[in-house]
Amino acid sequence: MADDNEPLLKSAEFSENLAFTPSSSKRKRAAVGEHLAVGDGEDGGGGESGSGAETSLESFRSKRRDGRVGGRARDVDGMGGKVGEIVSAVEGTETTRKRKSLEKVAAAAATTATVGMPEDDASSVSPTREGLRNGSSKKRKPGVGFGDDPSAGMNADPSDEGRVSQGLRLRFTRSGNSLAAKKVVPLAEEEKRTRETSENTDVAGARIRDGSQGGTRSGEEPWAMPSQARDQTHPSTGEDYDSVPHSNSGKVPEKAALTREIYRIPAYAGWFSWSKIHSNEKRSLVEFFDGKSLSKTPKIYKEYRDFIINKYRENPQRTLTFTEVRRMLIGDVNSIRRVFDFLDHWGLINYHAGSEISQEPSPSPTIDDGVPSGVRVALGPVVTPIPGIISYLQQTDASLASTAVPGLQVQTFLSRGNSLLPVAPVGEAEKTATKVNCSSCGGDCSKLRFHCQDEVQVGLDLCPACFKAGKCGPGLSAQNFVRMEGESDPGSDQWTTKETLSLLEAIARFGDNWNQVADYVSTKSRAECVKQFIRLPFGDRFLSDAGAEPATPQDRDMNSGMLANDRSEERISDEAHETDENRHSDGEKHVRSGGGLGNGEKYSGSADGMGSKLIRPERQIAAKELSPFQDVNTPLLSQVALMSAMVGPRVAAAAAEAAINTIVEDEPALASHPITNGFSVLPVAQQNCNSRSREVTMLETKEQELPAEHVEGESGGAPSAVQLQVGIATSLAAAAVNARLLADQEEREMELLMTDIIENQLKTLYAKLEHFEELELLLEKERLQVEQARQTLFAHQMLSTESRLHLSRHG
Amino acid sequence: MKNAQPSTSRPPLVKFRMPTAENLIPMRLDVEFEGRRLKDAFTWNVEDPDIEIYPFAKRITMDMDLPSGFTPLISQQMQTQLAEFRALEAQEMATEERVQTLRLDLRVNNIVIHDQFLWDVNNFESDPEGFARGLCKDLQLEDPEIAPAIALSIREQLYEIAKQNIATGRETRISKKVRRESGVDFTQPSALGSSAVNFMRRPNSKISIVRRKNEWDMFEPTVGRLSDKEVEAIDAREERNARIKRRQEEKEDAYTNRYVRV
Repeated sequence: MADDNEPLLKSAEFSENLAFTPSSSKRKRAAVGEHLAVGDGEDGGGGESGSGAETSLESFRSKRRDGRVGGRARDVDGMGGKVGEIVSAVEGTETTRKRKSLEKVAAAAATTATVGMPEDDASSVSPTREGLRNGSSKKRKPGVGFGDDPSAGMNADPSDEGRVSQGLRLRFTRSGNSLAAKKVVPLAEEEKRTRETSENTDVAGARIRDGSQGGTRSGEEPWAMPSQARDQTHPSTGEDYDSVPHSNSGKVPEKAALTREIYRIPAYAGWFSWSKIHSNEKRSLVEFFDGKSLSKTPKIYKEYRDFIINKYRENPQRTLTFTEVRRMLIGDVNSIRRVFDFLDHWGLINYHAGSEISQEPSPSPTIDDGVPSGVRVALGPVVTPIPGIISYLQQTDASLASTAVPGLQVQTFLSRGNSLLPVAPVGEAEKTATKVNCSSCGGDCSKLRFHCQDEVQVGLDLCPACFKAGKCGPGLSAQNFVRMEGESDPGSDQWTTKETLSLLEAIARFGDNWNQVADYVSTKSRAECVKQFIRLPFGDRFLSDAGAEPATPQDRDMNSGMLANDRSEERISDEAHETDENRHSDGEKHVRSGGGLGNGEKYSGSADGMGSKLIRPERQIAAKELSPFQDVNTPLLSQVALMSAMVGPRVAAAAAEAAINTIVEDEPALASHPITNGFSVLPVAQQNCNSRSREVTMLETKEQELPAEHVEGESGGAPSAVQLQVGIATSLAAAAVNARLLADQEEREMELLMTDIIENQLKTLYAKLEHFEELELLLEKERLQVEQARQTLFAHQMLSTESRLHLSRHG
Repeated sequence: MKNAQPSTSRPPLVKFRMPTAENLIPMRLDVEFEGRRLKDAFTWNVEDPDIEIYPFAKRITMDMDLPSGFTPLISQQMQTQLAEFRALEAQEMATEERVQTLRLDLRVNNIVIHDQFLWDVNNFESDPEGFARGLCKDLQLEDPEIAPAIALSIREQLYEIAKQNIATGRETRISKKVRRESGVDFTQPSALGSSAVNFMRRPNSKISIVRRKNEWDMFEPTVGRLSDKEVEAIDAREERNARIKRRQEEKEDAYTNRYVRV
């Protein structure tokens, strides 16, 4: 049961302990309250989680008495309830409405745990219904917690009467270094009292809280009695830093208990604890821990750290800058900057930025509760940049206002609360289970991510970009990460007919310039296009599919490329008509071709070019002979078409003519063929065709005995083979021409390159020459200087000699 | 401070270098040739071979479209500055923490920045460039020239302090007391070992990492924006000062020349 409810548990922890920064305006956040509704849990974990009604107060109470609650907030969740949270920053009038609806919710949910968070001295009490009352319009005065006047604070909250409901209260207190103190007022002894007072006032709540302390965990609770609270510990005072307990943190917890605020820190910074220094910190900021300096000690580090974090939390809405911090701190700016950067990196400060990116809840969070008084942090295996408080209010508000069924309402409410609570409604969790967000940039990296295996950094995921950029996090290196690939979207592999067609069209148009092809297809990537093209079934299989679509764009392209053949093809087409008609007239005779009749009809209708001719299924003979080439969709043939299109109609025509001439030379029988004659000899001598046709038909043993008329009728098939030959020859010629052109171009390019090389070498030579000239100049200068020096020396010598002479003369 | 006793043994001395993570020394150029003047400042990595200076100078000349006569002059100025460093390199410097106040007081184009902060001048992991970048980011200064200028200014101060420390180093080690009493010490506020702890001490003998509030303003950067007119005026004044200085130098040169010749 407890395990099952782990997520919930966690969420409670989470919302209580983590610093969070609502996106609503600055001080609204101050009014954060937490509403724990133990109700109809969606987790399906515990036996109690059936429905809101079932999760009765009774069961809760018994649980608690069993010691399961034990004054700890997360045990509340042991109830199998859902934890909802209200950021109660509603504006004035809304407050009431919201409160009412909330009450309804609470009642329906049977058990309500509210977490009170005193805000200002007037309203700070109400530990019970803080979340509802929420002080909305009031601004929390910084640092003036109930600590200022605990009794006043505790007792005076006229707006809150009657809100003490059943359930348990979580209360946050704040103490200097252990912000995260929290407590659940045990219901055992208080239940009655609570009931008594529930119609009256929250004074009771205050009392209860005071009274309960001893009974619960007074021994280890770091927060202190509210009556002893001193607001000086609250960093948000922003004033009296001289006496801030940072410097004497040892006493703080006992001395001060203050308003506890809820902050959010990223899950990957879950190691953070106010009271301890984690090995991460030691690893990243060695200078403070190597004992080399008097001013850089762990203690001072902690003070720096705490100060900076507190400073940030004074106003989590704005980004705290180092420049701002360093004016207040004494010490080497470099060291402080490293501390600052470290905290910034881990999201312990300035975390609000980018926090609005994602609302993905962590599916199965765990709790790090190693530090009794520290900030407890939820760790999720899937780390999402902790979402900020999205327009949380509106959501909760809307959900509350719009629901009629209280039980349901709780659910809605809870699921809305996901931005804060890492508990997802089941469906959503499933849906998002595979979605992973980068811990650094927040982007979706479900497809490919780098997952951290370091035990400290459970569930740190990086997207490839961040990983490449080395944003591994302090103390981590690339080795700590493993590459993980998510399942790729299967849908993206599917090619629609339309896409395939446009692919083919694109290939026909751009050849193997795959970039352009991919652009043309637009819905697929370059690699996918290539892959698909390779995968495309060629030959009959593909044709039988594509046959449904008459004259693909390629055909047209191809035909335009085969201008030279057009005239003859027209003739062929006419012939085809004839043959088809023949078949129609005596269908009984033409047994074999009868099967292809339907197709033949179809094609003859659209047979305006070679392409459609070629793919006529009834051209069985040709198909047998030349099947790989006969298919227009063969890459080779489309290439050929393309090539002839490239060289231009006239060249193609010339090439074709030359090709035909050669073919005729090789095979004189073809000389009178309609195609071979297509260019020069028109009209065609029909009977000449027969020889060829007969030859071909002979291959089909079955049809050997067929009458001559049949052979005559079959003649339509023969030309296509010949025509194909001619076509191929033409294209080869065209290709040759094209190759020639390319060769020329290449040669020109080579020449150009050669010129370039020579030019550059010349330049180098010139540069060298220039350099030498310069050297020469310098040398000359130096020579002059030396010369000058020599002259000076000589003059000096002269002078000295002169004076010596003078002296000696006098002497 | 009981828990963290620093090692009693004095930190070892090291070969002189820039007390920053990267061993970059600040360099300034002020070259005039054929009526054109080049003023520039940058950092030079002393790990680079010295012979790279000439190509570098040539590069500057080319990049700035200056007559090639600038190259030897630039190269010479750099050589001089590098030679000074090389001479210092022969000496040793202390590595113990030595926190001093650095001041920024500079103008880049039309931005004037004043700032003051504590800097451990013997922290070999310090990063003036990073600091400057952060500062510019925090202050939202977009001019890309500012951060390098700040970093250079920091480096110049560090360099200067390091040089001074070498000069006074021996004496410092002999008697700190004298230095403290004389009160003219560069590191005056941190007379006791110049550790940051000394800055943290309060009159009530407590140690606080938080600065007294009335001092916050002093350690806060202030940024001023000058109008174009003001910038012009300042430029003109600087130009004039430079000219006067140059004329004086020329005079001196002429004098010495005459003196030597005769």
